[in-house]
Amino acid sequence: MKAVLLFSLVLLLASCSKSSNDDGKERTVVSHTAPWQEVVDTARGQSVYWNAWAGDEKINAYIQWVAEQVNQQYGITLKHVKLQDTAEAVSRILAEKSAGRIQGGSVDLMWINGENFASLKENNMLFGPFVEQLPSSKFIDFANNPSLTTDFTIPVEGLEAPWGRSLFVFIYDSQRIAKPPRTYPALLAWAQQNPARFTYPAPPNFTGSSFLKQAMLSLAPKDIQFSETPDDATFQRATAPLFSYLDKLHPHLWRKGKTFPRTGPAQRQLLADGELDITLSFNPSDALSAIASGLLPDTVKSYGLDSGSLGNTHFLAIAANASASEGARVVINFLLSPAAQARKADIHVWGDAAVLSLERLAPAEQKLFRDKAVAGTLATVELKISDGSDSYVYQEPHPSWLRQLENQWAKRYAQ
Amino acid sequence: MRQRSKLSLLTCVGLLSITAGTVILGLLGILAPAFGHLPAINRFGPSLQAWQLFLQAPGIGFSLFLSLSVGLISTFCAFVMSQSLLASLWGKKRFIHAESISRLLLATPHVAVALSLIFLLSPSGFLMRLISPVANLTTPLDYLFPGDSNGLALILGLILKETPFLIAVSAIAARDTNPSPMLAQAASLGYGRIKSWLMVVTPQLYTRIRLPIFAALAFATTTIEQALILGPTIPATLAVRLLQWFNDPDLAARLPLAAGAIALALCVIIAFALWRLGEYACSHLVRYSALRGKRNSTLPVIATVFAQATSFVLYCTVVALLGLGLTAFIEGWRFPDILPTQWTLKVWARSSFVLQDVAINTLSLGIACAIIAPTLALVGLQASAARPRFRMLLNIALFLPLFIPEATIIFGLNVAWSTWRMDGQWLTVLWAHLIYCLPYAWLTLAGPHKAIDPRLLISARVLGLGPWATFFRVSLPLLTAPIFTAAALCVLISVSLYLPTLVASAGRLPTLITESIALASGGDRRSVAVMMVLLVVLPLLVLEIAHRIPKIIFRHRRALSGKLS
Repeated sequence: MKAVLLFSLVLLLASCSKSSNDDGKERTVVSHTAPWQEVVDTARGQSVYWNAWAGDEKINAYIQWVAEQVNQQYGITLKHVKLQDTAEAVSRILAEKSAGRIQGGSVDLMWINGENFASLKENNMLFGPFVEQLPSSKFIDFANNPSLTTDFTIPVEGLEAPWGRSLFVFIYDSQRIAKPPRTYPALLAWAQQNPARFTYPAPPNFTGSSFLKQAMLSLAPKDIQFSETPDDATFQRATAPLFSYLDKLHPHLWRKGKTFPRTGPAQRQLLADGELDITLSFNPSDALSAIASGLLPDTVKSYGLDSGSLGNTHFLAIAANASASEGARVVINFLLSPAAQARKADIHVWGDAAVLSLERLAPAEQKLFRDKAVAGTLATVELKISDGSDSYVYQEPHPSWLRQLENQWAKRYAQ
Repeated sequence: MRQRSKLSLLTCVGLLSITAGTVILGLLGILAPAFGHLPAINRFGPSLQAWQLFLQAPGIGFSLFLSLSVGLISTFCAFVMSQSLLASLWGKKRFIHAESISRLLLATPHVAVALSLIFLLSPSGFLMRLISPVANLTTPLDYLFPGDSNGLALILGLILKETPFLIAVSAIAARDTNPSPMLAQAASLGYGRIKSWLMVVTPQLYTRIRLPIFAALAFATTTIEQALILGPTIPATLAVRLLQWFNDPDLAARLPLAAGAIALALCVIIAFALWRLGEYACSHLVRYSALRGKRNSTLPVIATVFAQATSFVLYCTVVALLGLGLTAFIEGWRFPDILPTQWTLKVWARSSFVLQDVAINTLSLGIACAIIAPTLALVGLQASAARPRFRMLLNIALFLPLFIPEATIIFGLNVAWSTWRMDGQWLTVLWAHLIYCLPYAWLTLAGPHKAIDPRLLISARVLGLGPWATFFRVSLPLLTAPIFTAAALCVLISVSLYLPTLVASAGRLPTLITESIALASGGDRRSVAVMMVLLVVLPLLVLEIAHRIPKIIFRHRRALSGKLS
């Protein structure tokens, strides 16, 4: 008798069990033009799998708070699928597409931008356009902020909702450095005088890739068009100054450039350990929030380079084959609410700049932002990082640049 | 009666399908794309495109070389260290200590050992802080640890996990071979203890621990967890590069991934062949040295030095693990402070909500493995007891996964899982875990099962019990202790499986191990340390419980057995 039981168990394990996501097969998805209430009603009781980079505890904690809120307010179960790299989610969605899984996919909501967005858009694997359907979108001034409607020069077209804004900053320990280098030539000179005190994460990590992109944009000839796919000659001409710069810089890096930190936060840890004097981040308030949580000493400061900083927006998107696109839309709508945006902007929570326009908010909601340690609008953050002087903001180049840049980098330095 | 034998046959077939069937499925799943057949991205083979892409990847030759050299060097060092320890300390009190430390390290997941090495040896690590006042350091030195391009840090990390493993299996084998009379005879011929151990006992042990050594070699050649933390980055070892291809948003990367997974399996075969050559050379050396008959040589001195070094290193690792655990309770610890200044429980409070999900997934999988794997193994053992051919087949099938790289099987299975939409489910993860739990459950139970006195069973049959009734009423009580050991071992293995969990769960079921590796890439050492504390404490707890329960049960059994006799 036992053996029968066991054998049936073996069969159960070895046979292909029915996917729990297939429940969604029969139902029709509430369209992106339907009345909002219909979306909210359908979303109740859904499980939303949010695929988001999980390299930062503070961000994970914020996502956890969001999960509690949407559960209370909308009856949605939000699960954070922790990624080391957003590319993991993209490759999963594309694998599902090629396996013919057009519904009941494993990814609902994504924190995304740049080449990952471009790749999904190219493959028609994004749900939408849904942004206009969200009630919270009325707080966002799309008309006057081009960075909210293009993502790495790719038109967004309502397929992803802006969530936060970032600038690329350098972070240094003022106890060790009195005057940090403010241009690329100055950085090279500083590294030569202070060997092994600077490095950057290895691409394809996004902090490392961003460092490369910003250096490329600063050093390249001024006539290069970065908004379109380069041909080989253009790419050569645009990156020759960058690679000759890196060739000079690498011998003076941490560990002589033989190895690189894996991620931005890992490099921040090295600064905390005293192994480095400068680290990098795509979040202007990264240093402040790290100080607040005891990860960095309070002598640490951030600044943007005088030659200009890379700026971009990070977005929220829904997979075309999502099992719970309604739930995902409700979660996004909540994430764009003044309460959620203000909490995100709080240095003690995360410190990520809001995408809402203050003048579109009610006075009580405006007060939410004013009460924070640093007002969470990008304008104030920009002032914060450039010590009062206006810093030039580079827009992200077309995603194809980064792909080639990473390949070239690997060919030159990763052999 | 006939129906029963049919049942046991069915059980064997079921077991075979879980193990060999899964492995074959994995291999098929990887072979097709390796030869250009991946309908998912509109590639239809056969073609050699995957191999072209694989061979064109920057630095791939060095990656292959790294995998091979890391595997061979670490296994060889672990072998030398474990045998030296046995030769010079066997039968002494210190060996008992070394053995219990080994057991502790054996139960510690690879990630924890890797991170504790960083805690101890990195330029801003504990060791440099101790030295800093003497050497007058205000900033850490710039030396390459971890992640040196030749993989030395990784080799060290692997040695720390393989040596305890080899010490444990060697100790079991040594108890089986009963070395005392041999040593006495060698001593009467005027040979010293260590020399006679190495010349007489070690060769006999070797035949018994050969399979575990090959399993360790296969593991070290293809490890991912330690290589992610300690290994070189540019280029990384082959196994890590497979994971990078797997995560590439460009699906075309699945082609070099498949070719690379096959290459990794070939790597293991090459490592085995080289090890075989080494065996051949060593056996000639030993024979030659034995025939020369020199009574006093430098060999014992070397062995003693190695043994001392080994036990010292093992103790250091335990200290480093403790230090790593302490970082979960501190606030700010700047170089060159030797001791942290502020203690806090904040990180635990912050991690607690994350840990709920993680704990549920980790424990449910562990407990399911602990129940299912020993049960299946027992039924398989019982059913194949009278069928030597089946027993052979089962043996081979069960141990296949220990010699074929994890990455090869798992990435191949992923092709099947995603086609059948099974990834991301708890049952699929359980399936992946069982592949790796079953061999150990089988291994733990096979010996005791065989050792049951057949006269007891015959008596039971004579008294009118059927074969299964005999099994339940006689064999099962006799096997209580090994069953609990096997169950504890299955929890341990299940908790420590990284790649199978990650791929089978499609990232949807965070467990302690996947969570810790995800956090290890981040910048908060304290939250990683929280995970490490749990990863180390949980297995120890489980082992302790498994050790105690049979004792409690047997207390009552003894009273019962009195009545039976």
